[in-house]
Amino acid sequence: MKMKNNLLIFLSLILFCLSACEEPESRQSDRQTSGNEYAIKLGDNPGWSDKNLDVSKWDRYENVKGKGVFWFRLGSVFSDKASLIKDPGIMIGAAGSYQAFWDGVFIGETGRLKTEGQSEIPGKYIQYYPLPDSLTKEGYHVLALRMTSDDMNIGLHAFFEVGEYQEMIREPLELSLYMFLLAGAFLISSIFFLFVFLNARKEYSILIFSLICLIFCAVLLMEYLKWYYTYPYPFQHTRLVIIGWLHIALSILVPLYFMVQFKFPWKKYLLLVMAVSIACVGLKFDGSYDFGALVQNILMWGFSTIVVAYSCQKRDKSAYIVMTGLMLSVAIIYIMPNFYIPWINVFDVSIFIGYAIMILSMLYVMSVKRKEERLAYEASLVLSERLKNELLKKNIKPHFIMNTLTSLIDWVEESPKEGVQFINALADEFEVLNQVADAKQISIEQEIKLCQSHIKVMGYRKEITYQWESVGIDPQDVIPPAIIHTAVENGVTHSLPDESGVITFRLTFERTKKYKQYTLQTIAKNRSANLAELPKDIEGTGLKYIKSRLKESYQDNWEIYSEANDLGWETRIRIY
Amino acid sequence: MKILIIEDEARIARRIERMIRSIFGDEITSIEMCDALDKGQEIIAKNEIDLLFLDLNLNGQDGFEILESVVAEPFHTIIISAYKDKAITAFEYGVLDFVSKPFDEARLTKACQRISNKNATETGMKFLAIKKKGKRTLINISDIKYIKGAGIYTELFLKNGQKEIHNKTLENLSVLLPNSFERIHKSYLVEMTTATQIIVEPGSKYTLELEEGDRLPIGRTKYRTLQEKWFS
Repeated sequence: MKMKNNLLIFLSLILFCLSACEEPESRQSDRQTSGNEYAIKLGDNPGWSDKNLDVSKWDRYENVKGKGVFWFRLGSVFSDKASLIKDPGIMIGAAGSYQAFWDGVFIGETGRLKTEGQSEIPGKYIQYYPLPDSLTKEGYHVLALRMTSDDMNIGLHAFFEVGEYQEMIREPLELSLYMFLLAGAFLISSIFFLFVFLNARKEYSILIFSLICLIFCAVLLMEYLKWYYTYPYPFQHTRLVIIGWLHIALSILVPLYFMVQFKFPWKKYLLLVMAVSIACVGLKFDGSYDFGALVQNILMWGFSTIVVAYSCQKRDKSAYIVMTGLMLSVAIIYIMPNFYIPWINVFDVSIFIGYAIMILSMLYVMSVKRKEERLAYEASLVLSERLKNELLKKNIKPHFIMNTLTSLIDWVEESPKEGVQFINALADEFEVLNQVADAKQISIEQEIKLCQSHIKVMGYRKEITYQWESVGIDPQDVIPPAIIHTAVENGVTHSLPDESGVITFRLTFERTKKYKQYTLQTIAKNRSANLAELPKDIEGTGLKYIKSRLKESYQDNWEIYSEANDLGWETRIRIY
Repeated sequence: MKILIIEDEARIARRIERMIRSIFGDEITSIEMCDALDKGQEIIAKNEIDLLFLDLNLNGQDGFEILESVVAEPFHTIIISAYKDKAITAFEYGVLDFVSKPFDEARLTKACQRISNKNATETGMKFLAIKKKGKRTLINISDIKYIKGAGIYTELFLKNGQKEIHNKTLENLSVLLPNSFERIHKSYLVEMTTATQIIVEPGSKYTLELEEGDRLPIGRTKYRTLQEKWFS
């Protein structure tokens, strides 16, 4: 039921996003654009602006880079709708500095052309100029650009669009508005999650998510920059390169995020495959910016889907939601471009809607994981409390206390002097226990004191001589309380003394670069002569207590071995 | 009297030994002590013992398996344990007494006295553990109609018509079973709620008739008490 609700909220958020990005009613059906017809010629002649010039001998592709002035002519046949345009204007996008002539009439210029003695001042990549009504009627029209283009990383190109002057300027800004709203949301998310990460340093998924949001914000800004920042034409190339790199970063980070969140087991291999394929795509489509980005995105979705599908197959519930999000975003990205929306590259819009959905699904996963973490944390608090209780209970368990008291009565009745010593030993054990009960970790010296007082008590009860040996102990070291003590208890329970009636406990400490290790060797006969007959989980609740304490202090960075050997029984606790 | 003490705390085992020596005095022919169940079972198998003192928690093992195995044996068992809360269950299985730790000689004496005279307080026994083809099964006391002594063992006649063998003598069982079981004859112990009438036959021969028509002889000396206790 809860899952269902979450899904509903998730879907409605997506719908909200979609509605926010919905296109305004198309008012641009009467727009006229440059067609495929263009011609280039190196040289300079004022007559080349003439509308009716014969350009059949001109070139389509000519290396004009840095060679000075050339002319670029674009022709287009306007439909009958062209006459509906009121207050017409022209948007010109061109990779160069130019003077523009419309049907032979000078309409404007941008930058400064390179002439002898004068270097080029780059023109604006996109510029708007008003046109006279008389020159936008139905029929053939020519835009002639007298250009120089010194910086041609982008490749020589030019295009125009004729429509209502003000509308042409305003409408892209209206679309940009939504995109910038989105960008702002991602900027804030990015900052928020960066702070979250700074306060929880180990959670790299949060850092990755913060980065993804930041990059996403940057992509949106870079992509829609062109509508409000009239930049010089060489920057167009820089802009596209930046966008390309941002897409590459996304196509690595997004699958990486899912890998970290869903604990994908073959992270390294998939990352390697990703790096190789992304590099291949990057090299192969170097220069074809939009298409390159598209292929990178397909890779990103592909790899993400692999990771999420793996988790779906593991029946991770949040993976189902993410899978839904991924599928939906793919559908939007690749289906939406099939609907024509003039003057914008539909892919530029659809990809952001797709991204937004995907980021929503990432946020959802994050919220689910946060909840899991909170529950785990609460469980750990309960565990600590329970362990504390268990420790306190250890010595008031009927088995311990009643047997001790019975022996004690007997000692007092039979030999009061020893009885008093017995009471002192018991008081010692209780005292140490009382000191350590509240602590999560205690010094090894306290722990040894606890063990020694315990075997003293047990000596009176069992009438066995218990001996204690410590080897290589570092008095500064700390460990969780009563873990060695528990191992000693087990040794007392499961061991028989040797011929001279002695059981020896030897605690050895070793420290290497990788770990520290405590070894408790019980030197005695095991109760069961045949080692194979010993129950596997011989230590039962005792071992469970040790493990829980280790987990509480060291998470998963520890190991415990407990096994019979030639000397008796060995318990090794290794902490990394 | 042969006594076995199974107790893993040496000091406590010696305490028990000391006390029962003073309780039973010359009656004792032997006392053996051991600190683990497997050794104890070896001793049980080799010697016919009369009384067992058993600690339920031996070397970290839970004692109920032990309990089930010893109550099926012919001898009486007295549990000495730190776990007072297990007393009810122990009685249900048919132990003679449950002495909780710490204990003194007076308490142990009281437990030992149960062997000879049935105490007014019921033990609360609910099951009889029997050994059948090497396996132990529990028989619900309420399923028993009557019990017939057969020397060193007894035959249990059940309400469903089946007959089972138990290793305890009729004397030992009569101490453990609830008060509704009455010794009507030196060889018969009957669950009296199933008895319908006493038939007096010529020659001072008395017979007890049960619900399903079984007729059992009544001992000459038992007739009067039976008549007064159950049929007046």
